Amino acid sequence: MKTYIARRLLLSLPVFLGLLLFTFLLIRLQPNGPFETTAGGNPLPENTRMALERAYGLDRPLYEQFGRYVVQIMSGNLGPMLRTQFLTVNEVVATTLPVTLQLGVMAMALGLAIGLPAGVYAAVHHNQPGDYLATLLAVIGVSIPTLAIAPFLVLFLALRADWFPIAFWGSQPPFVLGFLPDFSFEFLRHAALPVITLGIGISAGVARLTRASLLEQLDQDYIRTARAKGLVESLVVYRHALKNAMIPVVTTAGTLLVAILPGSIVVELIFAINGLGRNLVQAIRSREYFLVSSSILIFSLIIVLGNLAADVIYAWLNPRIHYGQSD
Amino acid sequence: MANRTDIVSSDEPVQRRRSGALTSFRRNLAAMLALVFILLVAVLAVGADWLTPYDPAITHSAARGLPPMTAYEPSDFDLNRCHWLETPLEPLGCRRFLLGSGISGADIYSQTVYGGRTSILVALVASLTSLTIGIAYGTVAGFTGGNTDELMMRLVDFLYALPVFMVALGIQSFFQFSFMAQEGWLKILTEWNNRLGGLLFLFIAIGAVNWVAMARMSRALVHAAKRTEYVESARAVGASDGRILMRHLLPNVIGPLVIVETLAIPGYIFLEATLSFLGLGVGPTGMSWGSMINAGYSAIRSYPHVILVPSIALSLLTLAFNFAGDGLRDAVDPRQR
Repeated sequence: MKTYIARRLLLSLPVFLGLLLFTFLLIRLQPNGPFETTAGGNPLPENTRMALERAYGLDRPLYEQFGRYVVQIMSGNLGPMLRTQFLTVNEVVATTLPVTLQLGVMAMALGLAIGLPAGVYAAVHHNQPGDYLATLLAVIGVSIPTLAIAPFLVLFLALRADWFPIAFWGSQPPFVLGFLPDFSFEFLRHAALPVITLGIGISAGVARLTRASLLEQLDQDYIRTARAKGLVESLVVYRHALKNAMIPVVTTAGTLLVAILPGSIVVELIFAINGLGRNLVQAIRSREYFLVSSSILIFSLIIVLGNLAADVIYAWLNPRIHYGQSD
Repeated sequence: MANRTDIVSSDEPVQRRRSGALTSFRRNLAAMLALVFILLVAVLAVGADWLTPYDPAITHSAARGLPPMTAYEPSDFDLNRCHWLETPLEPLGCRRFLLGSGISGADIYSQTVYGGRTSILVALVASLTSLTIGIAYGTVAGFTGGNTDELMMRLVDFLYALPVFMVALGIQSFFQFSFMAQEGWLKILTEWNNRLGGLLFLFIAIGAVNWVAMARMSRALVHAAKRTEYVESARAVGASDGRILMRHLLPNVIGPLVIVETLAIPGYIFLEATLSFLGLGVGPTGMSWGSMINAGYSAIRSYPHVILVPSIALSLLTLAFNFAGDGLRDAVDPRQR
C-alpha cells in the first residue's frame, strides 16, 4: 500500500510540472503584463515598467524564468505579489486557502449528510412514491448549476426573509490552528447560504450514486443468502449491502471534489468570500503571475490528493483489491 | 487510474434494440417533455433574429428595470429599432417587455433568447468536437495497438489528470487578454472570434479539454471489439483494416459513446455559463446566461427578475438535457433503471 501511494504521488509529478508549464506559458505569452497601468488605470511610464520587470526578474528569457520559478516552488516559496508591495503569494494563500477548504469541507459534509440517507431511503423503498420523489429531487439537484441556485437562495432567504447575511465569511484569519474557523453562531449564520448553495449539488450526486449502488448490491446472491438465513432486513441492508454499496460512492467522491471546484469559485465570488478561488479570478484579471500559477497548482494538488485518498479508501473498503502487484 | 469505473462495460456486445428503445423513450414522459423543451430552445436559437423584438445589445434609457409584461410607451427612436414593428406581434414585443427590461434597459427576453443560442451552440459544438476528436483518437489507438497505442494513451492519461475547469480557465484567460492583440495569428483569431460573437475562443477552450474522456472510452470499446468473432470473420474474408474500422467497428461502438456524450452536455452548458459568469466566457460582443446572471447580481434586490430569468432558463435547459440523456440511456440500456 505504501509503495502504491508513493508511486501514485511520483506519477503525478509530471502532471504538476506540465500544469505549471502550461499556466506559466499561457499567462506569460499574453500581450500585456502586470505593469502596464497604475492602480488607478493610467499607463505606467516605459522606464518605470522596465525597472519593475527587472526587479521581479520578468525581463529574463522565459525558460530561465521558468527554471527559477520551479526551483523557487520546490523550496516552498510561491513567489511575490506583483501589484501589492511587501506581500507574498505565501501570505495570500495562508489567509485564503483555509477559507476555501472550510467552505469545501462543510459543503462536502452537508452533501454526505443529506445524500447518503436519501440514497439509502430511495433504494430501500425502490419503486415506491418516496423513491420517485427522492430520485426526482436528486435529478433536479444535480442539474441546476450553482450559478443558478445562488440567486434564489440570496433573494428569498437572505433578502426577503432576512434569515441569513447576503455576503462575507464569518471567520477571519488568524484561524484556530491556522485553518479551523471558530464555530460561533455568527460564523454558522454566515456559512449557511454558501454551504447550502454548494452542498445541494453534492447531496444530489451522492444520493443518486448511493441509490444506484445499493440497488445493485441488494440484487446480489449474498443478500439473498443473508435474507434466507433469516437476518433482519435492517441488518441485511446496513451491515451487508451498504458496506459494499459504499465502494463506488467513495471512488466518485474524489470526482465530486473536482466537480465542486468551479462551483466553489462561483460561490466565493457571489458571497464575496475571500477564498483562494476568488483571488485566482482576480489575479487573472490583474496579471498576478505568481498567484495565478500557484493557485492553479494548489487546486490541482487538492484534486490529485482527493483522487488518491479515494483510491486508498477504496482499497480499504474492498479487501479483494491489492495495489502494488497488479496495478 | 485503473480503478475509475467505466460507465459503459466493454465486455458485452452492443445490442440493437432500436425500435424497442424508441418506444421506451416515447413512453418516458419526463424525457419527452425535456426533448420538447430542448427543441423549443433550439428553434428560438436558430430563429433568434426573427423571434426577438430587439437586438440584445440595444438599451432603452427610459425603461430601466421594468418588471415582466409591463407596458411602456416607447419613443419613436426605440420603436424604429423594434424588429416586430408593423407585425401582429407589435403590441406584444415593441410596446411591452415580455420578461422585463434589464438594469440598463435592455430587453431581457431578447437577451435570454440570444443567451440560449450560445448555450445550444456550445452544447452542439462541444459534444461534436469531443465526439469527433475523441473517437478518432481512441479508435486509432485501440485499433493499432502495440507501442503506438501505449504512447497515445499515456498522453491521454496525462491530459485526463489535468483538472478540466482549470485548463479551460487558463485558456480563456489567455484569449481574454489577447483581445487587444495588434498583430500575428492572435489578431486573425481575435477577428474571427468577434465575428462569431466571442464564441470561437470558448469553443477552443471547451473542445480542447473534453475529448480526452471520450478518447479513453472509445479506445476501450474498440480494443475489446477488435477481438470479437465478427471482426475475425471480416478479416478472414479479406476485408481491409480501413473497411473493418469504418464498416464494422465504428457502427458498433458509436452508440454507447453518443449516449455518454449526451450525458456530458449539461456539463458543457454549465462550464460555458460559469466561465461567462467569471467574465472569461463569451467576449464583450457575446450574450450568455452566465454573464446575464453576473450583470443581474448587482441589482438583485431592486430588479430580481433580471437575475431570475437567466437563472431559471439555465436550470431548465440543464435539467432538460439531463432528463433527455437519462431517458436515452434507460431506453437503450434498461438495466440501469
